Formats: sequence, C-alpha cells, structure tokens
Amino acid sequence: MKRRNEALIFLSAFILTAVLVLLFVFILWLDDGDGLGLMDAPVSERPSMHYVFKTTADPGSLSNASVTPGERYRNSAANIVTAIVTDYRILDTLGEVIVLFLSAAGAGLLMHERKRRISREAGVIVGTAVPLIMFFAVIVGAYIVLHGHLGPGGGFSGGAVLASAFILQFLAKSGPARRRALQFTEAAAGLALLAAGTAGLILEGSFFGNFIAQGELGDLLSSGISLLVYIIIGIKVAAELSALGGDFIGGE
Amino acid sequence: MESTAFIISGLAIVFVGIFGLLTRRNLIRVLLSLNILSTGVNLFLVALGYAENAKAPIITETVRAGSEMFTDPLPQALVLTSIVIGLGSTAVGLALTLRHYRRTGSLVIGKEEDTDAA
Repeated sequence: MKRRNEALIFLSAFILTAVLVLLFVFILWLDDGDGLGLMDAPVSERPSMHYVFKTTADPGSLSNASVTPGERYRNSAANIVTAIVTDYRILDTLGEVIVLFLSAAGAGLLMHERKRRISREAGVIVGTAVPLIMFFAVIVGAYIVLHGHLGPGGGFSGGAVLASAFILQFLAKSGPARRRALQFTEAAAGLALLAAGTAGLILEGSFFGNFIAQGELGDLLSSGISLLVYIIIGIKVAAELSALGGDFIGGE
Repeated sequence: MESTAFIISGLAIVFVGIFGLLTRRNLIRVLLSLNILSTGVNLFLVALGYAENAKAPIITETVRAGSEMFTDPLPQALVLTSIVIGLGSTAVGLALTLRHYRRTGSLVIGKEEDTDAA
C-alpha cells in the first residue's frame, strides 16, 4: 500500500513536470518573434538605460552621450547596480533589509527552546587556524563592503563574508555566542539606516535624499549616500547572519 | 541565440526544483529543491537582461556607457533582492525543520516509520 502511494506520487510529479516542460517548449515553438515581447526591445533602448546614463533624457537620443570616470553626476557610483539598489530604489532595499531582519528574528524565535549542547573544545588545528583565517576573511569582507560602488560587491555579499568569519569563530570556541553584542550591533545599524533616511528628509526634503556630496565617479569616496547605506547594510547583515549562525550552532 | 539558451537553462533548473519539491519527503531535500528553484528563477531574470557582446554594468576607465553596450542592470538589482529573500526564507525553513525534528525525531514528513526513505 505504502509503496504504491510512493510510486503514484512519483509518477504524478513526473507527469506534472513533463507537462510543464512540454507547455514551455510549445510556447517557445509558437513564438514567431512577437510572442510575449519580453526580449524584443534591444537593451540599449530599454527604460533602464536611464540608470546607465544617469539622466532622464530619452535613451534613444543618447547615442553620443557617455558617462566617464572623473565626472560628477547626480549619483556617481561606478557600479550601476549599486546605484539602483542604494539610491534610485532605496525603498525596495529598506523593505529587503526589514524582511531579512524579520526572517532572522523568526528563525531565532522558532529555535527558542534550545537545549544546551555538550560543549567540546575544538582541536589544536582548528583553534590555531581560525584566528588566521578570520583575519583575512574580515579584510576581504570589509573590502567587498567598501568597494560596492566601484565594482562587484556591496553590503549584502560583504556582510555575508564578514558573518562567515564570525561563524567560524563560534565553531572554534565552545562558549556561548555573544548574542547581546550582536543584537545591539544589528539594532544600531537598523536605526542608523533609518536615521540616514530621515537626515535626507530633513536636509534634502525627501526620504533618503542625497545629503552627502557626490565625489568624482571612480573615487573611493564617491556616490554620496550609496557608500553610507552599503556600509550600514554590511554591518547589519554581518551581525544578523552571525546571530543566525550562532543560533543554529547552539541549537542542537 | 545565446540569451535563448540562457533562458532555457534557467527554466530547466526551475523544473528540476519543481520536480524535487513534488517528490521529496525529507525536509532538508525539500528546502534544497526550493533553493534550486529560486536559483533557476534568478538565472531566468538575469537572462532577460542579457545582451550579446555587452559588458557588466560597471563604468571604468576602459568601459564607458555610450562607447560600450551594457547588459540591463535592472534585473540584476532585482535578483540581488531575490537572493536575500531566498536566504531569509531558507533560514526560517531550517528553523522549522529543526523544530519538527525535535518534536518527532524524524526529518521525513507524511509518515511515522521508514525514516531512511527519501
């Protein structure tokens, strides 16, 4: 009886997936060039080229325009994805940070009934290697956070690297994770993010308005509020993920 | 052509994830399937902004907007959000899994015995 159920579930799942695949292939087959039209506009004519050229002019008329290092723009982040995430669509990012906070808090709450694990000291090799690795991991993480506006990277990825360093330390040391300090750091970073937005509201008249001078494109101290926001997000994500990792390590 | 292959591979990963979600009973494997699915969706979204012979949307001394074509940066910013949300949902799912394991002593849902089955 049980075996037959198993086979039935497997078979129906297989059929359902096959139907989905066939449907997709069929749609592709029908697509004679004007199907959904998602891919029709060439990238150079899409509305998001406004972000690339850092202007509101019609992108079709910008064939001779260029954005060059050493100039000042409304947002002079060289990495355009960073400009979108931390400036043009900062409200989305604020919501994202809140969702991350809620999920970390929810996971911590669900693991509330924790048994003390039998603490065991890590071996000599781990105990010796972890401080060394942590040193380099913190440097790399800080680099990624600070260069989010100049190249690939940013607060989320750099924060994850920083958190990996701290989680490594939790693994090596059997003592309890310093939850208090992590929670305080996280709360302070969240408040700092809101304070940055409010400062923009007071000084510039719009929430998260750019109240820091834009440097020249390509400099380390450029891109105004983007750098500040990514540093705050890096600290917050690092604290959050470390607390989460500490919860999971201490949980079982 | 390249971008079509990109889209098809992203959707293939989505189908792998759906199949895993439907057939697995071990909660860890269900979460893995969910992550595979979301990876496929992220690939699909990035593929929508792909352009052939285009550069990553970062302005440097040699790569400038105007002289070079960039891929669409907007889906990439969206995917950044999507990755973070995926991480959050995975964390909550793992916490729920841990709770289920403590209560029942098994990672498998839907049946009480035969815990070694997938």
